[in-house]
Amino acid sequence: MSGASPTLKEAMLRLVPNLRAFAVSLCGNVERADDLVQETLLKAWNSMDGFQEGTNLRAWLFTILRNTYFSECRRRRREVEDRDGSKAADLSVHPEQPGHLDMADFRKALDSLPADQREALVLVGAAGFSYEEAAAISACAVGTIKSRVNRARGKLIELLSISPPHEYGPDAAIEAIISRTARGGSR
Amino acid sequence: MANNGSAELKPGSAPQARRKRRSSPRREGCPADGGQPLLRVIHSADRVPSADRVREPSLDMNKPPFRRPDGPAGMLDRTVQAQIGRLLRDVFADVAAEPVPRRFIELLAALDIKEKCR
Repeated sequence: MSGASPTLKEAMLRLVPNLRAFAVSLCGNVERADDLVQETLLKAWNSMDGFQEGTNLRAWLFTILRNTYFSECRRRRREVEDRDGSKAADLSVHPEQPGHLDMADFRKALDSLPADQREALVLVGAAGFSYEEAAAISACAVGTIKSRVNRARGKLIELLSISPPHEYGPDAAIEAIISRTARGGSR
Repeated sequence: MANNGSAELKPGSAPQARRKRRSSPRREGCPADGGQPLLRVIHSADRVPSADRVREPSLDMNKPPFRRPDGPAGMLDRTVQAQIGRLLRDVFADVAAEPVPRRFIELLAALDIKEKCR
């Protein structure tokens, strides 16, 4: 075994924040995410021979992480179904202030997406991978990634009730009164 | 990212459907020209004569979020997508900005030492 050169070890360390962010987005739980990252680093280290220098280390580590996650999911099938099914059904997000979405609202909606759609959306929309790279990471066709991303976006729009600005010129003062009345009433 | 997103969502962009459930100050936006109201304030459903609602299918609670079929859909879609994209990156960056937990620094150091001792 050739082992990791110091630079490769450093490179892996530098990618840990990214891996954690990806892991959290997959499993929605920081502790489990960190376990996933740990397992990913161990696997990567032990199969370093399979990695060719000069290729995309980040994509390689992401691939190991998502494979680890999904094979774990297959073992814990029931939990996955809960995550992807029943919870999503009763989820509805009502931002406190109309037109204002905070991160907690968004996270909740993101977590309710089916795992494959959430993964595709995060890889392309947050981690900055191309559709081609995301397809390679997820071991599926580019078209599949595109349709997952589209479905995920559509579902998010629905869940968050994001409404595009309408053409009736918004009267800020009246809008403020209405939103205050509405919020007051909901308390 | 430097461009603050609040500009993208104006206060007037609240989904009309969300307001419907609550009774709001009585106010009818009725422009003199008799055309579309400038502002619609939605009264509680039972007070709105059903005939009026026929003209406003987008206020139906059972319908998906507000969509204006004849509107400049492409532009609106881009605004919404931009908002989602920004939130998505924020959620990701939020975790990525956290310092690397000690366990990973130690793990990689231990692996490295083990490797060198072989």
